[in-house]
This record gives sequence, structure tokens and C-alpha cells, in this order.
Amino acid sequence: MAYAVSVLVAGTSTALVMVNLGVDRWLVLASAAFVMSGTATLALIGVLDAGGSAVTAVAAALLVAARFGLLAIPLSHRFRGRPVWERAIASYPILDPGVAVAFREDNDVSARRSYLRMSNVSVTTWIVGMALGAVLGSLIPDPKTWGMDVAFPALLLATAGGIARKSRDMALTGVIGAGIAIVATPLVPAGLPVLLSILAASMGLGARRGLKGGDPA
Amino acid sequence: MTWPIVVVLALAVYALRATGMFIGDKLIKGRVRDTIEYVPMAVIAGVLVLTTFTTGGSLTLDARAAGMAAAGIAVWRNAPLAVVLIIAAATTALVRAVS
Repeated sequence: MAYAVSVLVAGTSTALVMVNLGVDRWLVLASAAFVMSGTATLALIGVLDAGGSAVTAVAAALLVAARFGLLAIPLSHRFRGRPVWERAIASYPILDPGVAVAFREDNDVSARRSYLRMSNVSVTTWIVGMALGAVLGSLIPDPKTWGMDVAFPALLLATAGGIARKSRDMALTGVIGAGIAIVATPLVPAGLPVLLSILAASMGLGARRGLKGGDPA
Repeated sequence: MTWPIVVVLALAVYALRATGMFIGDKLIKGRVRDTIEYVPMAVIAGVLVLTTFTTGGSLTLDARAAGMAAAGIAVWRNAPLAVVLIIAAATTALVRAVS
């Protein structure tokens, strides 16, 4: 299954990057199993690596993860009337692919089953991938010699490319966000440029409203 | 990155998901909901340029930029993730070796 392979590769490279930045292997595994989000984890280590404080880093990661709260809303309609413990467990692996397959089913029972199946794939391959990366990471001597230090931004670039394909205003959001971070770097303390680039989100939304009618978004 | 950071992040991310699952309908609507969809892209783009063009908090231009340019072409051509990463790392290493 192509999806499982891509999650595995993403997990492995995320963990590789973390180990190269000097993160303890057990911490890498803990974030794999408990944070359950590649983009939030990457935002966290990105801000920390750029010299930001723990508070700024967690704030940036949570802003990225806020979208899981939104994804949970359509999913919650499929869990209407289910026991609290079931909804509590179902909340743990809320990610785009699982919610997407649940969307496609026409009744709630099969939607929950598809969601569960997809989530199992996501969770298992993500954790296995991260574990693999944590082990491989310690075998690579100096990341700079093999150009491994660009693996992190390149991973982000691939993620951004995937999102940008969705619509023109998403792509525009990325360009503005990048621009803000660069311009802000010499002007404000480390860690802040990333938080400022979030302003691009409201500009992207504004662009969608401006383009209304012409754009399929 | 330390244990307290990971624990706090893990709990908070779970709380975000559970909030959406249990009371999302009542809590979030309209413009906030629309804006949140754009936040990941904005943050990812910010972090990606900072990790490419800064060293220790100041702007720099080095071999990483070449690697990222090559990676950009690979992403644009729809290359698989592993290929993108290998191209980025190889280009960076190559530019570093000759400069």
C-alpha cells in the first residue's frame, strides 16, 4: 500500500532529522507514539533548532496541530451516540487520511470501521518508521558531510508542496509565510519569525475570498 | 528538546483532538475555522526557510540553498519523498565538497 510506505519514509526521515539535531532516541520514540503528528513535531524541532524558546516552540507546534481539532468535527458526527471511552480512543489518531476515508462511507458503522482500519495503518507505520529512523540516525557520524542537514527543510518542502497543490491560495499562503519569516529574522528575537509567519494564514484566507468564483478552492 | 516539552505537547495535541471530537460543533465556527486550515502551510513555510537560510539566528546563504533548490525541482516534478530527500542531501554535499 503506497500510503503505508510514504508514512514509513516520512517517519524514518523525521526521526533521522531529530537524532541528527541531538534529540535523545527515547524522546524521538515518545514523540512518535504520543504526539502522533509529523507536522507538529517538525514545527517543534524547527523552532527549537532556530534558537526559539520552549514556549514558542510548543506554541508553534500547537498552532499546526489545531487543524486536528477541526478534522475531529466531521468525524465526531460519525461517532454520535457512541460511548465516551470509544470517542476518547478515536480522538488519539485523528489525522487527515483516516478522516478522509470516514467521509467517503455512506453509513456511520462502515465509516467508523474504515476510520479504525486507516488509523491502525497510520499509527503502526508512523511508529515503526520513527523507530527505524532513530536507530539509523545514530549510525550516521556527522550529518553535515552527507548533506543530511538539509533533510529536514527538504522534508518540509515536500510537505508544503503537497499542500500547495490543493489550491492557489494555499500556495500563496506558503510564499507569504516564507517571506515574513525571512524579513522578520534580522528584526525580532529567535523563535518569533515563525509565529509571525502565521499571519500568512489570514492573508491566504483573504486571497481565497478575493479570488472567489475563479478558483476551485 | 526535553521530556517536559514532549509531555506537554503530547497532552495538548490530544486535548485539541478530543475537544474537536466532544464539543467541536459548539466551539468553532466561521472565520476562525477557515483560518485554521491555512495555519499549517504558513508555519511549515516559515520553518522551512528559516532552517535553509539561517545559522544561529542570522541570515546566511550556503550549500543548503543549492540542495533546497534541487529539492524544489524534485517536489515540483512530483518525485517520491525518498527521492526528494536524497536529491537535497546529495546536492548539498556536492556543493559543500567543491566550494
